[in-house]
Amino acid sequence: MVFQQTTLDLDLTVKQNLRYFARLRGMSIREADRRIDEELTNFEMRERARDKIRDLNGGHRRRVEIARALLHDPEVVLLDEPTVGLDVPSRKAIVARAHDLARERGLALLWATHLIDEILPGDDLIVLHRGRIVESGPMTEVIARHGGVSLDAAFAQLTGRGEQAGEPAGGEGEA
Amino acid sequence: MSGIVYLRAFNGIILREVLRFLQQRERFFSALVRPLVWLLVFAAGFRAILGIAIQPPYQTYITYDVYIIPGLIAMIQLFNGMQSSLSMVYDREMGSMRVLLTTPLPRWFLLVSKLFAGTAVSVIQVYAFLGVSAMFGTVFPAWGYVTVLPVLVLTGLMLGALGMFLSSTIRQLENFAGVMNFVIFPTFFLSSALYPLWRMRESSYLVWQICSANPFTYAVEALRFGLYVKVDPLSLAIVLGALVVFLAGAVWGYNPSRGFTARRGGPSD
Repeated sequence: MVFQQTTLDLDLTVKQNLRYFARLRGMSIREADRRIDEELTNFEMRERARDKIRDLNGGHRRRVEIARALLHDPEVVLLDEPTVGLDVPSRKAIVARAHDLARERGLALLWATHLIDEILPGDDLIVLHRGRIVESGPMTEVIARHGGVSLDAAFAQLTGRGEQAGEPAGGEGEA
Repeated sequence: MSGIVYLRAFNGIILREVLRFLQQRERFFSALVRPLVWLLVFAAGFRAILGIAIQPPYQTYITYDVYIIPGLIAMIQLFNGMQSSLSMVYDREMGSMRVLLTTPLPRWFLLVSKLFAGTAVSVIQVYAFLGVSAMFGTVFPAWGYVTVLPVLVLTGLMLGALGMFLSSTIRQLENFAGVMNFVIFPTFFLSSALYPLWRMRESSYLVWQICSANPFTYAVEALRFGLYVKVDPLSLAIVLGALVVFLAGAVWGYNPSRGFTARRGGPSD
């Protein structure tokens, strides 16, 4: 699970944060350290393991949180607007990394977002509007059913054109 | 789920709290300075005025600084209990409480672990304080430093549970600051921390009654006896009873389907 707000202890190091989580999941310290090393390497954060969270930028904190959510090898990962407040390159990197995870490990990611450019053509999509599911299916099919132009246009059609914000959230799953 | 999983989670929660505490130098410093100011300024002044008659567990006349130490120890633990709870309120606002509460272990277990974690921190503070006060000449029987430990754990848990119960009912940080003032000071002053109960009774029967009903008084007395390698069963029993009550309140308060978090629609909004 990855929350919208950061949930790391700022004054502890990356590794201390991850070990805390691993212990909460009942992992042995050896297993925990092995998985921490693996995930940090995957997220290119290994050299930062001894840094305090406070010294990391937003993008790196997010990476640590996603790495943390993967430590105990879950089958499903829930991410609640994980890219909120990040700069464009960090956001892109995290979105790409998430898609890699789904492809490489067969992980299911439920990714809630307002930023519909984070959804890629192969993704399964659920459109929520005011708490109701108004559409679901693979992205390309959703576009085809609603104008066939772009996801932007389809989304606008589904949620009522020009409406401010509303309550849309794209769910993205990849088996 | 096997016991080892519980044990690992328990260790994890304790370790996090201790690590966080060690990072926060100012907190350690202020935890130490506060009782020392009382000891060195307040007690030094009263030493001349106030003689303490022989009363259990003391076997001779004692000076006021010796009398006041158990109360100051309890004050450290009271402050720490409130501060741990303050950090729980903060955790809840900042979201790291969610990491804890989404752990697939029973909530009561997580809260009890958290309580032990806060107690561990308070015990570190107390021994640091006892060390410094010994350097200033206020010493206890050597074995007292050992026998006070189990009492410290019990009183630490009780005062931590009090803070936890309060924090479950409080939503915002600012509110909590108010509670600190309305809880900590009355709790400390209306107890046997600064004056023996019999002396209170001489001056005001009402105040004496309030002090006698205050669980903090019994925490202080239990510590006082513990420091002299003695046991005060009544105090210990009352502290234990208060612990059970406060803990039950906290577990109830942090239950998402009942309690205070439910009424306010959960911690997130």
